Amino acid sequence: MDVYVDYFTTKWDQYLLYLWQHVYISFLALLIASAIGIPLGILCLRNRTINGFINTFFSALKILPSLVILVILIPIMGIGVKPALVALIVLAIPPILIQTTLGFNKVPDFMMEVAAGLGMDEKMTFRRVQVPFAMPYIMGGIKMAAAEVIASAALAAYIGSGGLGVIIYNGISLMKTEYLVIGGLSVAALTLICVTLLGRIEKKFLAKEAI
Amino acid sequence: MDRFIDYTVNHYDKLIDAVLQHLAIVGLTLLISIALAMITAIVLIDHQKTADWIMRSWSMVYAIPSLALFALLLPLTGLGIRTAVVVLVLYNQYILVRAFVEGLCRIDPGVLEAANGMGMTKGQILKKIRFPLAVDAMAAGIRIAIISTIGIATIAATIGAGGLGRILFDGMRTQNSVKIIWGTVLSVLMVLLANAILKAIENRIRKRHAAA
Repeated sequence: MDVYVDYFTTKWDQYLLYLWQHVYISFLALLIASAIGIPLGILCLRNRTINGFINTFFSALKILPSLVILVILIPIMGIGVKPALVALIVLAIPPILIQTTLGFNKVPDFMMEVAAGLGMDEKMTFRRVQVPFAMPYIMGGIKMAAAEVIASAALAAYIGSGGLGVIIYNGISLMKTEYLVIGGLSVAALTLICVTLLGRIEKKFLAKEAI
Repeated sequence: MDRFIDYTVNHYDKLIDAVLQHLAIVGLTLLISIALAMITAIVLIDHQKTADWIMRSWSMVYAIPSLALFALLLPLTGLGIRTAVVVLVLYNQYILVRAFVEGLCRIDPGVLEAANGMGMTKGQILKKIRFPLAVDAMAAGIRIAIISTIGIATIAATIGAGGLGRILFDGMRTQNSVKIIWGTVLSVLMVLLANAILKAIENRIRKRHAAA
């Protein structure tokens, strides 16, 4: 127990830095991935050719091991935060994109007909009917992406992006149990907290829909 | 390019070793996890509430990042292939138990009643009704488990389990693009091949189903 107290009293600042780096890179990756994935998902709905192409591409991407996506960028971009961020964005796009397309596809036909009957134009239907309906699905996609990104951000420590993965990495190379436990528990807790929070938001959108 | 050919000619045995090691980890994991998931699913058929509860716990485990779980188990099970297999089996439980329970339980109640009426025992219903009807869902679950196991097994190299992850990590550490390329190509090939083969098997099973 002493070693844990020791770690937190002597290395508290460092721990906070790693935690911040982890949260920062994950959040940034999710933000950018949403900014790319959601519009692409909507584009997929409007154009069949693009849909086929993008869907095949991202389904293939989805089954690739995350380590491969992290490593393959090294010969091109070197090591550091930048390649890690790019890899995390690439990992986060597929779930967001797939869920966006799914959400918009699930809008029932009768709702579209009612919207047309009410005299809504295309823009208004999109904003007032389709987007609110698809929102829980999109949030679900972001939730899946968040789990993936936080997990892979820990791995990204190996290519020099910092974050909580560094603690695990040091624990393995120094064979220090306390580092392994602290790093492992921190990453696990961070993931579970984020997934639970995003799940709450998802449910809120669902509840709104029910009304 | 020369370096690439040089490495390949001189060290192809290392690449083959890594592939075999990777396959060994994946194979061992699958054997254990399918057996475990099957037992769990069969026990849970008549206990829907317990099944929900167990699924929720597995989904929590599944949400824990693999590197974290490797790190947490390292003090208990030590470096090497054992920790890797334990972690991979844990992850697979979520995918497999869910697929198995869904397959075995989502059966038309009419069919079950008819079987009951014919005087079949529980064991017979399981063997002659539930299994044949659940085989699609189970095959799909096993495919997803295999793909995810191949992927996560690369990360197991961090705890000294060997496999393709070792080539990737070595390449990463030494900035050796030849190793990075080989590691990438081999893992991608393994995933794509496994996916294609298992999809073909799934389709065949489905066709046989449709015919019967």
